[in-house]
Amino acid sequence: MMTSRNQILNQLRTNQTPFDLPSASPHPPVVPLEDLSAEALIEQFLKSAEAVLAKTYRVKTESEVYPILETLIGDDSEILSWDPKCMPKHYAEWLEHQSLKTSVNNDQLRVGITSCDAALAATGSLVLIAGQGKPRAVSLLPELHIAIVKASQLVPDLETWIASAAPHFQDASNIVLITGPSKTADIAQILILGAHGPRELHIILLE
Amino acid sequence: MKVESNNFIALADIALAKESQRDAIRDGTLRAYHKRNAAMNHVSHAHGESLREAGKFAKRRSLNKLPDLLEQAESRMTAKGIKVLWALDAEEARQQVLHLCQQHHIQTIIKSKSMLTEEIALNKALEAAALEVVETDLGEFIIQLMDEPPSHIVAPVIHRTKSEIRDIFIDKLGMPFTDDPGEMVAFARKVLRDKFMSADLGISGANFIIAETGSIALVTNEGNGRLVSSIPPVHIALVGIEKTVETLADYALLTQTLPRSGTGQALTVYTNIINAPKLPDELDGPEHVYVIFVDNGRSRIYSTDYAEALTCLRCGACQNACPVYRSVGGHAYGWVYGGPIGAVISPLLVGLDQALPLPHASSLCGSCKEVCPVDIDIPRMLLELRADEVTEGHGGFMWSAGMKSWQIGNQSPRLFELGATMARNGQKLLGDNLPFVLGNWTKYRDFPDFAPKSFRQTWREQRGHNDD
Repeated sequence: MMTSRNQILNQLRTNQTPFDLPSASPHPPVVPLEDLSAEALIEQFLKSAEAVLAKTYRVKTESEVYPILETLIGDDSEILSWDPKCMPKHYAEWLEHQSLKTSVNNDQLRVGITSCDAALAATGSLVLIAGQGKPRAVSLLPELHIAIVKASQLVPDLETWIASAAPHFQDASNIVLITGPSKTADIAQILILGAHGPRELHIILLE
Repeated sequence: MKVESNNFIALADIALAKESQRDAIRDGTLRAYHKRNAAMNHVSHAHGESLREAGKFAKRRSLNKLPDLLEQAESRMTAKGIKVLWALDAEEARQQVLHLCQQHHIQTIIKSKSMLTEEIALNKALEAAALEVVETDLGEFIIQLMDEPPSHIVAPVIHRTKSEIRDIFIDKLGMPFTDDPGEMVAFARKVLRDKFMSADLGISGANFIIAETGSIALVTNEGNGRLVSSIPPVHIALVGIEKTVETLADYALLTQTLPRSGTGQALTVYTNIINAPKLPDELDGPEHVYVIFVDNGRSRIYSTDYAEALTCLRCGACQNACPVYRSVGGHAYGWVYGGPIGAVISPLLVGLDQALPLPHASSLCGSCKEVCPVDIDIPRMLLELRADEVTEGHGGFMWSAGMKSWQIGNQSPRLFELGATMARNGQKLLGDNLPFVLGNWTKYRDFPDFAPKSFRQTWREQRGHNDD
């Protein structure tokens, strides 16, 4: 008795291949960018992120990041957070100074803070690779997700990132590209933010 | 879901009579159609066409290698701890899911949107086994409350107005009165969030199988796809075998042209790639990931002239472009897949005799082919299906007799001329209204006037001889 697997494969191998194709076909980038200089990528990234309703901040030094975080966190005493070893140098110190407790899975918390593994200028997207110290919940459960991005992490587009990303697909359980806050238009095509994931996405770009 | 496609005409009439629904569908599809045009042609029309060409090539090249790629995907997934199952048909897929539910002592299930799971009627089987299933995609959640099937591949509740949705939330969920859609979504978010955090199992579909890396990929906007595949300890993904792409580069292209075509977005909010169950040093993620490769007729279609229907990305662009779908909506098609692609794959999947009107639910305007991110020639396949209906004996007496008469009449110059003379004189008597069933044609159109003299007459008079 042939297994379903073998029945399926045999059926697929029965006849000739379905399509006559040319040997190759040009593969243009979906979002061609003309200027790939560092400054142009930063500007493109911020513009694209704002177009999908993320709020962006551009700062030159790490010390400027923390006042922004403090404003967004407000009076909350506990936040979801990636491990400080995945975050900027003085992050652990700042957490302690603010007496902020951190959690990796409490879904009642309002704010979650992550860094990222790469960022795509063409679409304003963040690449987050799940792993030790980088739980998925932090960018998924809270109402506010704050992501700290280093300008050096910017790449032009998805095609560029994916061309060298194959090892991540081997080593990591999960990769997510985040492009804006969670949204739905299921109710009469009216755009509403915060369907199940975060309602607000704040991106701090650190040059 | 019971197949009601043979009732298309009656279902379409019902749909056409519901004015608010017509407005909702028309507005929703038109908006999406314009967004698609802007997004795919955002650089230029030529660039948009080159993306479609590239997408067509990527899917067809991948499908040409399908059996090898499926084996490759299976081997790479297995090496990373994903358990791969193969289901020949809907029943086998359902049994596999039920078996896994038993094995893992599952009681509550959260689902993210999957047309395939509708196709195999999974929810009903789970509920029959006393398992609680909650749809988490907001549109699917709403139609689950309304006990209806989805009416659009991407926007399941496009046919319902805001007030209708408000009322069902009040009625079934006890939502306090509000007309504000933001508050409605916030309410649903809270209701569903509890389910997310406590469910034993997450079930999803998948938009792509990436053979190169042994991964599956999902596109969602709400976050429910991520939640379903990250929070519960077990994740099962069911995916049609035809969703396979060969390389990461193929995936990078198609995961962008799919949302541009379906919703006008450069990327969906969450573009999610699942490679493996959670690693030992991770704090969240499922402990067990199962991927079920589902055939359910696809390998049979693969060997026919309809194989290109298998390149479909399920983006919904064809539905948004189709004047028929735009008027009657998805439910009229009587099964899971409606609109242009539905008119092709429904007969192919459930049998032509169960969906005879569907290949005729088209004026062959070609809008569907124009907007398809992989350039599927739907009009060609609709015509071929119509021909299949006749060769398979579904033509009907009137059709066969009519076609035979036409054949005889056109093969004989004398009969042709006699027929033309009768028609010209008949028009003088009947005016613009053709008799009997032909009257359906002139109900909405004027029959063009015959010329006072036929070509043959004029030829004879001018040339002075017969051409018999």
